[in-house]
Amino acid sequence: MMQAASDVQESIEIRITLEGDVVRARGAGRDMCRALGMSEINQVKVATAISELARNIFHYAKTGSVVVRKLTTPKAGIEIVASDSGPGIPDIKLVLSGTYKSKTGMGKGLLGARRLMDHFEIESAPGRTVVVLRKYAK
Amino acid sequence: MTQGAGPSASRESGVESPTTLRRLRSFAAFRRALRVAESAEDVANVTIAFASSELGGTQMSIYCGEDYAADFDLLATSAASRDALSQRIEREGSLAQRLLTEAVVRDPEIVGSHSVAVALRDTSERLVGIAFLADDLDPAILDELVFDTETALAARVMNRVRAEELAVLEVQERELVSLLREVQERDAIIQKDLEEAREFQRRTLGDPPRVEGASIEVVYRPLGQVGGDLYAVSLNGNRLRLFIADATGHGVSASLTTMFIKSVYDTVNVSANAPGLLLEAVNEGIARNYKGAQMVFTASCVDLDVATGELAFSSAAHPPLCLVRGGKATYVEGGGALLGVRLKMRFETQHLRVAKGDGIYLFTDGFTETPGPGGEQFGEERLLSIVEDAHARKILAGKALDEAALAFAGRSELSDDATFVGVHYGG
Repeated sequence: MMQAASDVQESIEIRITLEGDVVRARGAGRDMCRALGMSEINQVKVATAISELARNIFHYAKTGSVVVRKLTTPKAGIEIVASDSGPGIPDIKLVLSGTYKSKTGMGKGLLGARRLMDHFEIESAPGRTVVVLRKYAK
Repeated sequence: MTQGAGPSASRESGVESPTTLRRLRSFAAFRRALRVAESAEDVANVTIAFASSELGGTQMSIYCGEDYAADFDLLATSAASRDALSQRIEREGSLAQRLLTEAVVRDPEIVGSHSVAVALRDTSERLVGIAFLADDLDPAILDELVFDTETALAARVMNRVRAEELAVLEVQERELVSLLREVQERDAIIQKDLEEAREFQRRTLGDPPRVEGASIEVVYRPLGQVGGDLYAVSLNGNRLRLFIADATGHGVSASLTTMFIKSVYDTVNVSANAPGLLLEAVNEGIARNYKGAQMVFTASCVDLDVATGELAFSSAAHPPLCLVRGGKATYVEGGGALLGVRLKMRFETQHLRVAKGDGIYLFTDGFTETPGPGGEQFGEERLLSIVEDAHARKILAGKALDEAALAFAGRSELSDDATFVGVHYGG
């Protein structure tokens, strides 16, 4: 039976320090999507986007966190906030314009994560990168 | 919009005016700048710079969507204050909709001093952006400017959409690789656990004892790593007891059932002095202690007095006992009800006699119900014939049966757990 959105845990924070934390973050996102009654395809999209952000943290920043949050405004859905204090993504605008050919691949997956979600925000500078993703339930 | 409308009139006369030449050069420079602009924002900046320097300082703002569905964001403006302008124009809004049909809209409702809105399109039905100008331009120049700008913007938007799609594929590929690795790691853990369980089950069932005056053969072939069949062979004085059981199902759950059965069997084995009593005691132990756990199974028990050849047999819904007496193989039907279903079940013990050189064989239905490629089952008659032949030739009957069943199935494994316990009386 579909769980009522009001029963869903409000938010969960996963510290990313080990590769296994990527799996935990993905699982937490997928569980929350499922609890919110989101379609299976959207569960997979959210889980995939979380994996990408968490993997970016693990590979480039080494440590950081992913917060998975139930969203009620502006629309019902799920919000993911991935933050780290790593080196930041140089030329983020160019990366997101799709024209930048990164040698390291750093930030490239962000384009894909953005495409998978309904809302995307990023702030990136040396020492602090925050990515906010949202997927709306309907 | 039509390309190159501006200079056409001069070309007809064959003489380019200085103004026309200057404009041609400036448009050529503009197009070169557009070609090397990396992003949509760069395209907008190049266009606005061109409009400011070459088109009489016309104030201009350019909006563009991130993809073909997104609203239009303000990319660049020559207005003094960017904040005084609308930052976003809705794709589904009235202005964008009007531009789709009218191409140019005068006095658009937008904060700022712009008096003209012009559609920037990649196809006749799709806007990629909107340009706002403070003043009307010469239509020919406007046409040319719009054509070059929308072509460049459309290419950047398409590049961005394609780059995103490629990035999604890469992200999904990484995700698939990661998921596959997780599955493989879990599979390795499960496989290791099953191998340990198989070893545990094998040790729990144990090897048959060496008995003077009887040679004992056991074939145990679980379908997977662990099986739902169980056997036990024990010697108590002259009494050689053979026990065989088959729990419903196969795999891990059935193998767990066999461990419970074995535990109860070991508890009651010595005190139950006849096969029927043993089956009753095993049934009581399982049905009473594990009520509701769905531990349902068939079983047979044979007691052979190795000194006298007296044989006692009882069955609980198990396949028949196969006896080879005087070189002739026959079945002894035992009947009986399934074990583990309810308490206080009674099981008859049949008394028979065998002579030295005879054979006593118990098996589970994993052999007889093996389907062949045509769907026909291996069957009890075929088993009887193979056992009789092997017994006569003094070769291992269980091994011969196992090989025959596999050959019949045409595969490297059977479709169910299969167990065989045989005794060649007299060694």
